[in-house]
Amino acid sequence: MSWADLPCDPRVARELSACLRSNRLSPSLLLCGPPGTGKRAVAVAVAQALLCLGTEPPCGNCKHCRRVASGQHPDFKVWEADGREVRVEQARALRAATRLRPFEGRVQVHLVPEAERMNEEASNALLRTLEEPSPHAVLILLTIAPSLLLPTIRSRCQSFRFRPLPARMVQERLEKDGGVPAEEARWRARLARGSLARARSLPADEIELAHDVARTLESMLEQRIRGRLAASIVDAAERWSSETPAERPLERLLEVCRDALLAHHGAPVDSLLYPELGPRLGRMAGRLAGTLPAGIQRLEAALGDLRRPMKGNLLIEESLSTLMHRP
Amino acid sequence: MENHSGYIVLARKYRPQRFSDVAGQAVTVQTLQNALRSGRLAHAFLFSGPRGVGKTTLARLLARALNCHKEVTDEPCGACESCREVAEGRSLDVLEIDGASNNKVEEARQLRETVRYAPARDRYRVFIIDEVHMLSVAAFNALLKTLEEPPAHIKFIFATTEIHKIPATILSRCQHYEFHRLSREEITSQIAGVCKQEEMKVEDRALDLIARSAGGSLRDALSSLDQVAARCGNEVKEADARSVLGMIPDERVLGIFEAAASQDLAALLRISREIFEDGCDPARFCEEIMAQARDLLVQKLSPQAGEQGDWVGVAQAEDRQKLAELLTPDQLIRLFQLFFDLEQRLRGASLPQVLLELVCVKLVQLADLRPIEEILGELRGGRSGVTDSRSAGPPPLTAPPAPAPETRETQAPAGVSTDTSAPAPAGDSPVRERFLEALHQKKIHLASFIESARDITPQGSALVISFGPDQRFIHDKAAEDLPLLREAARAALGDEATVRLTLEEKGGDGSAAQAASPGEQRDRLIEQLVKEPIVQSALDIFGGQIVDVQES
Repeated sequence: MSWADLPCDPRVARELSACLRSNRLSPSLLLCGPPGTGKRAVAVAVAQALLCLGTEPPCGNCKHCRRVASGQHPDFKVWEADGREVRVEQARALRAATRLRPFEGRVQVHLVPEAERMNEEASNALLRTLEEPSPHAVLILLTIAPSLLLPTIRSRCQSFRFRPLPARMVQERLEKDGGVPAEEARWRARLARGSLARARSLPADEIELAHDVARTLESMLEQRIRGRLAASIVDAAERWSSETPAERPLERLLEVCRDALLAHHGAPVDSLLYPELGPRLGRMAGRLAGTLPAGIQRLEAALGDLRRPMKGNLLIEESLSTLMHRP
Repeated sequence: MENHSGYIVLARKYRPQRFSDVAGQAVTVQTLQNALRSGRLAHAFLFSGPRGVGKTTLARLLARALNCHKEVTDEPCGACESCREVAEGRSLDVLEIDGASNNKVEEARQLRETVRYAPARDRYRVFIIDEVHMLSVAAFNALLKTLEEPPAHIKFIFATTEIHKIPATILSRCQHYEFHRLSREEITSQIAGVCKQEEMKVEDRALDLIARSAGGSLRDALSSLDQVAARCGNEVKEADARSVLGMIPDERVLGIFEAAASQDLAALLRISREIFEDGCDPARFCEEIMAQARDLLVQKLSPQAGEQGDWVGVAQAEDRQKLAELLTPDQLIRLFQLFFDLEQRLRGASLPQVLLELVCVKLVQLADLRPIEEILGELRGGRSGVTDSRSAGPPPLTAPPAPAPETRETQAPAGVSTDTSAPAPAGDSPVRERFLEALHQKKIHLASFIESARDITPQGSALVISFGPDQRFIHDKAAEDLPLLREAARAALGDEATVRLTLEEKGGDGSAAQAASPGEQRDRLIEQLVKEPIVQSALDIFGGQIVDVQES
């Protein structure tokens, strides 16, 4: 196994392996970056490097490496959020665990994959562990939103920033490793937001859905002047929320509206996610009479609301009403 | 304490071991030392202040000074048994308690019990409670009595970053010391000293960057230095520091102001994209922009105020003057607000980049912002400034090719009667509107169903509501609520009104044919009109909808 093969920002992989080689790795690590940029894979690789007994850690093949990868190593513990939060009981259990000696390796590695979900109590309970960890414990926190962590947490960690992967690199990887046809690799990379995992998992009809969204918005504008807006909003929300999660149609709606706004203001074509829709969307933006910005903000917030137990169709309905509402 | 790899982070390695090594908290150190010298010691100390400025460090130093085997001293010897034990965290008489993990009332009661016992060996039993703001209210209350009149051999030292969470009853029983952020110069000189001892060569500009990114916290600065050193080795250049720390290049911050002034959307979007591609924290970007906007406002409004070098943004004097010329104070304030608002929204955002792009679009419209006085002046001068498109704040998003007069011309021949749904006197509004309005007040979702009916027209004293072949569902719903519909119809047509529902069958034949054939023809006309760009524009702009079509 080699650091260069990890699906992440090559700079981070380089820096981390250099730190490991020169023994300057802090025992409190914070890996930050957008979703799907390889944080978890890198954290596992660090744990392997620390627990591997091969000559060139991490070898990826020894008993230790394999057990870390499968999550079964007794000295590698992952602290997933319990429900929506990482709770104080977990933080205390983690702290208590660091006081014990490692079972097999030289160290024990504790991974908190969604550090931003630590509630206030849990965060505070970890402060002292992070500042003065026991000599044989390494803590790795991952987060997509470092600004949501307590400043006192951030200040105690050595942090690494994962940049989104460039679209070009995603496209290359898809073509070379995955055997994806060039045309498909291009749109997948464009919509991947710098995440190879996302690029791979995008459904094949993603572009088609965006076209559907654009068509539906256009027909909604027609229904609006016929006085049948309400029904057409209900229809669209019904149709889109029939697929779960409603996240996908909401995201496409947001992206299409974003493209519409940018196209209307004459943004360059290469900044659009759906360049082929560009001119149509620009015209549509013209008809939306100033409600696009509010609509975009509402759609963005609706995506966040989805994380709470809310009905997808209601969120879509409400967002569409904001978008189509005439001042 | 050695770590697995033998590596101790700089912030721990260089934790001061003497009062004279503590940086930045001169007043607190002096006061504590005076108290130690004169023996006028409080029994409870509370240290508050931002992260990484020396609270825990001074708490430990104070504990050492109190128990040093030489005597109670203003500079602990560091050599005696007690001093060494405290430094290694194994003293029996100096107890460090993590307030965040031991925050329950039971633990506070337990603490209260142990307070009664005399020290094991040394002069005092010292309790250091870190993160004390995490104690529960009950735990705080359980400590009140002890805190007011503890035995003579007991000292408490509390440390917290969140002083506002400490109850007033606790505050009034402690001697409170406020710790301050360190100035950029103090931090720079501290980390320069560490670099020297570590034999690291760090460029001055890189030191400056580290100090700036630390936000007044020495630990943050040392963590950053650790990070940079770990990745660049012992020679650190400015560019390395910038990239490791994820600092946003100055030209991007400044570029936002330039592009906003020149209404260059492409440039704004490029900067936005670069911010995300480089993995910079967009919230930090917002902060940098706000700091710069603040500087430019100061520069514009009161150049003297900034003469003391009290600048917080990244721009150097020359750039600052240049940028200040580009935007008016109103525009700068609006820009500040946009980024302030954005920073709030970024918290927990799913697609932060879209939000930043949205702000970019709003920035392009910034140049159209005119002072309110100017608009008021025009209004007073008799010009109808409100309808002047230039004064309407942001430029209209509506399609340009739709001037009002043209639409009026096309209306007449086509005979479209548009309902402008503007607040009109009740008597003038069409029956349909009054009916829907009345229904809306009775049952809101029924009204929105009925709104989509193909036709609502009065025929004599009856109100005929016709539904298309694809609206059977709505028809049936409406039939269930007939009494309500009747009430609404009476409100619209008068007390004698009745309601008739018709449902057009598929293919147009069947019982409801009486309403179908003229309806169909009308539908075809509406179908044509809906596709007409000029009709679309007119209805979009005036917020109207097609209610009826009459051929002339």
